[in-house]
Amino acid sequence: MSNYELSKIPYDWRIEAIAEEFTRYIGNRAFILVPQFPFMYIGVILDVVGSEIIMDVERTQIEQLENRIWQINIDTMQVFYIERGDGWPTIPEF
Amino acid sequence: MDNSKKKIRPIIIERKSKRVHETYPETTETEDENVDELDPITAENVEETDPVTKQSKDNKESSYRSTLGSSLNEIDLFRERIGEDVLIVLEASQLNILGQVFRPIFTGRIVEVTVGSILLEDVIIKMPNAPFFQFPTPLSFPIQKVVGMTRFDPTTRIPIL
Repeated sequence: MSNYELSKIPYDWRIEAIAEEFTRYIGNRAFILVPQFPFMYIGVILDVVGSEIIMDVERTQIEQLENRIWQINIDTMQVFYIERGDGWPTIPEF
Repeated sequence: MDNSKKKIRPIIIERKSKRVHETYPETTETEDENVDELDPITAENVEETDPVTKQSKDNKESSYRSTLGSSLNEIDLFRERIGEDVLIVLEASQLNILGQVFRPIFTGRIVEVTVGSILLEDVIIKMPNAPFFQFPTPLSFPIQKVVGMTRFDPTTRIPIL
């Protein structure tokens, strides 16, 4: 019980730090994997609100869910990559 | 040298360029090099965070660099692995890229560690039918989702159950 309280503090800092990373690259493309449907998002970061990323998604698992605005929770992300320019690799078209 | 380190953006604690790693291909030598290089860097970071935490919380970006709270010290474990090849396992039972289902087991070289995430370069996703599939971009992993990490030779074959 008390362990839960203790572990909550750094956890919020981590989410904040990741949100900060996304905020820094608003307007760039990003690649996100989540364990739940639809598993993958590729698109342009439009905004970051708290622990939610607002994203213009151009590619997911399902064609019908593409080309729309998605709201993605940082908490459930397992893998991500944000394009940075400056010689860093770009996300290919899948 | 001190000036160049101070130019690093606040959230990025250290990034080791690919070329540095390639000039020392033998693993034993790289370990020694890393230890020598990392010691002054960590020392410098600790020095820098001391005044930062004494400041008010107005400077939002700087606050993420704080390693004073004992609860955040585990990122040092990741930081001292910068430049090394590791295998990491994530919390999710499975992930999915365009219909390819795989267990979240990745190998790669750590290039950057922040409070929230670690960035791996030359990432190999251990797909069941393509165990050496290299992903075209680097990948970041939220530290909270990393359940296990170990040093690992990326050419080793492992069974994926």
